Amino acid sequence: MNDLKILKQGAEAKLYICKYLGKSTLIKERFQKRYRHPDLDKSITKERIRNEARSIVRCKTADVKTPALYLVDFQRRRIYMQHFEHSITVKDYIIQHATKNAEITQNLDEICKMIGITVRKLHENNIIHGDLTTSNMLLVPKNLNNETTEEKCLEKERFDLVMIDFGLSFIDSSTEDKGVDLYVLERALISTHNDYPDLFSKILDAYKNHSKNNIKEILSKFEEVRARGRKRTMVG
Amino acid sequence: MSPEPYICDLDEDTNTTLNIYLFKNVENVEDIRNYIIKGEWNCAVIKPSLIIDPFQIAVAANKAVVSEKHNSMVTKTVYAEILYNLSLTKNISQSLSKFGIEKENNLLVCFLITPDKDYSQDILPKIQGQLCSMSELTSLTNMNDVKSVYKLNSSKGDDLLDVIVSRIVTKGFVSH
Ligand SMILES: Nc1ncnc2c1ncn2[C@@H]1O[C@H](COP(=O)(O)OP(=O)(O)O)[C@@H](O)[C@H]1O
Ligand SMILES: [Mg+2]
Repeated sequence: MNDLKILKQGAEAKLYICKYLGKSTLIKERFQKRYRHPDLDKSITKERIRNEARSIVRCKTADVKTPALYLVDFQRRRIYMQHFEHSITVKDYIIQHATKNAEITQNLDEICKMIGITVRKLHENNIIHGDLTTSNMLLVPKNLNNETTEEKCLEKERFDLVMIDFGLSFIDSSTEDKGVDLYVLERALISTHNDYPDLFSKILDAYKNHSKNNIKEILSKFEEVRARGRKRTMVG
Repeated sequence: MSPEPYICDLDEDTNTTLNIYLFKNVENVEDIRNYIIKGEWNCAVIKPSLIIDPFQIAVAANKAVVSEKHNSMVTKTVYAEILYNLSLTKNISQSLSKFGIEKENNLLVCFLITPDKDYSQDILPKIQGQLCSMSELTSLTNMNDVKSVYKLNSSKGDDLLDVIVSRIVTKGFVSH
C-alpha cells in the first residue's frame, strides 16, 4: 500500500496513518506473535480486535467519545479508525506542558474532572477499559480552525477527551472489575506522573460525584483491590 | 454542464472506485427496479431518505468490496452486499427492501468501478430523471427514519455520521 506511514510500533500492534476513503485514518494492525501457536494466536487476535471495536461503538451510546470506525478487518488483523490529527495524549500533555504555573494547574484540574466523569460513564455502561493509562486518553481540540492553535485550545479548555486502546476491554457489571479498572489507573498515574501526586484523588472525586449509583460498593472493592496490591508489593 | 458524481477511492487492495449519482423525479422507477431484480444492471440503487451523507455509502461499499475480495460476503452480489451492509439487521431481504427503492422517485445510483469494468455510462442514460448535485442530498434525508433504522435515540447531531458508520462496520459482531 502506498502512502502508509508508520506512526508507532507497540508490543501488540503496529499503527499506520494514511488517507482512507478520503479521511485521515489510523490503522491498528495486530501482528502475529511467534511464540504463540498460530491457531491460538489467531483467535486471541480476533478476540482483541472484536473487543476493541465493540467497546468503541458501545462508548458512543454511553456518551464517551471514541474514534469513528471505518473498517474492521479480521483477515488483515486491522482496525481502520478516525485519526485525530491534532490530538495529544494526556500523558504527553502533562509531561510537555505542565510546568508549575497556575493556569496549567487549573487545566489539569479540568482534565482530571473529565477523566473521572468519563471513566464513570464507562462503568455505568458496564464497559471495563482494562488498560486505563494516560497514553490511552487523547485531548482533541474542539472546532479547530486556522487561528486557534492546538495549545490555545487546550488553554481555553475547549477540548474533548477521547478514549482509545480498548483491546483489553470487556463488558461486565461486577463492582470488582470496576474497582480493578480504577486501581490500574491509580498505578499508571503513580508510575508515569509521580511529580503530580494528587491527580488520582481529583479523578476519583469527579468519578464519585458524577453518579451515586453503586458507588459505595465500587469504592470498597477498589480499596480491597488496592490493599491486596499493597500486600503484593510489600512481599515482592 | 451536468453535476459531478460523488467519487471515492475504496480500499487500495480492491482497486475499486465508488461513484454515486443522485437523481430526482425519476419517471421509470418501476423499470429500474425490474432491471435490478433481474440482475441486468450492475449497480446499487438506494433510497436517499435513509442516507445522511455519501460517506455512509462509501463505508458500506468499501466493506462490501473488501468482503468480496476475502470471499466473505453474506449476499450473492457485491451490490446487494452494499445494501445489506447499510442496514443493521442480519435479515437479508429486510435489508434490501429497507435501503433499496420501492415507489419513491428520488434515488442514489452507485457504481463500483475497476480498471476493467465500468458499466455506469451504459446505465445512466436509461434513468429518466433529473441528475442533481450531491449537495441536494440533505434535503432528501428523513432524519426520523434514519434515527429509527440506526436506533439512534440519544446521539447528538454532529456525531451522527460517526455513529452510523461505526455501527455499519461492526454489525457482524455487535448487537445494536
Ligand atoms: N485515533 C487516534 N488518533 C490519534 N492518535 C492515536 C489514535 N489512536 C492511537 N493514537 C496514538 O497512538 C498511540 C498508541 O495507540 P494505542 O491504541 O494505545 O495502541 P497500543 O496498544 O500500542 O498502546 C496512542 O497513545 C496515541 O498516541
Ligand atoms: Mg495504548
